Amino acid sequence: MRRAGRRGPGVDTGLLLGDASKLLPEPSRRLFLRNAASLGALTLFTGCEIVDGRSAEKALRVVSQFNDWVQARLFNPNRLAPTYAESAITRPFPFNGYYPEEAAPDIDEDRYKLIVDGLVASRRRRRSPGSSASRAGAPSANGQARRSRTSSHASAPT
Amino acid sequence: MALTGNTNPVDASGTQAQPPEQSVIHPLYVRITHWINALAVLILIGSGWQIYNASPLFAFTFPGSLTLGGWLAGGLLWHFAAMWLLVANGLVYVVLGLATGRLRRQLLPIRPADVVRDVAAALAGRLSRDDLARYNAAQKALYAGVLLAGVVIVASGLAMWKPVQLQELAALLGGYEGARLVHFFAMAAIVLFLVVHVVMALLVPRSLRAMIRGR
Repeated sequence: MRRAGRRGPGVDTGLLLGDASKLLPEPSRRLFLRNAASLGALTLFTGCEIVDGRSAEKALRVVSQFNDWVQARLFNPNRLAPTYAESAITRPFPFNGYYPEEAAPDIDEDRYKLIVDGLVASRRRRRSPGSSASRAGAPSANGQARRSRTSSHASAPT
Repeated sequence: MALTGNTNPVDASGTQAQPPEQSVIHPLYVRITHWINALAVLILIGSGWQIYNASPLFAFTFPGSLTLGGWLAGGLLWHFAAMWLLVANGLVYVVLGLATGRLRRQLLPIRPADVVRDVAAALAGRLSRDDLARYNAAQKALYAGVLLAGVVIVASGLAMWKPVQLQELAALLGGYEGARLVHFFAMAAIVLFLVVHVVMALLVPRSLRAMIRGR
């Protein structure tokens, strides 16, 4: 995690805060354990209050930590994801984010940098593959990045 | 049918005609695993619809009021918690069902001709429900079918959960996207079963009582 004081150059504070607040949408945050007609009916059977309250949320966190442990046991670092033919790439590449595509910030490709920081083996800066810097340099590792709409969130299934 | 059935163990003289355990329609382990399963399945459907809505496969989404978790991350937490309940409970049910021979006794044999006959009779309202302890062919087909759907939904769920570590399983199901479709249609089959199952239980309230009290 990046602390506020160590924000790299070129990081727009407003955009960052906007993204962070979107991470926790307040109205649905309160619906976290509610909003479930099916569960409401279930309490009739069980006779206990499981829909509401922090105890359920806490229990879910505990199970989530157990899942992390199981996933770590399952994970084999030598097992690589299969390589797919180029024809298997979906074009245009589907937008992936926790906000709708219209809300994605417009980014100046020539100035955009992705900084890999924190608890990583090698800290580095990357330019957007479409930028003039990367066009001149090494071959693009991510030819699928959307022009001018770059999400710095990556999640890879393991 | 009712006279020879074992739902009434007391004969005219007031003595027990059969040992009481024979009058139990659903043994305790079946009742306990049934209701734990019901809880797990409802949580999994509600949270699964929440997850579906975040990235719909088809041109529709599920009404938010029927989903669980509030948003994608909440749905995932519920889904990945209830999956342990479903699998652990399902294993207990299947192991005990195989060990006691109850699964084989209750579900086999399933003859297609009998299924057609009993489904037609059920739709015409002519199917006898006097003997709750013995399943008719329509019930056998439904229960065997939903067990199969359960196996398919767990397998496709595993393939989506760990598509790299379990890539052979994922490949068997047509890759990640294939597994999503299989998972969705297995859910649809289970929801369809649930509708029929609940309607039948309400039409024959004795069967609901039997799943709670055992007889």
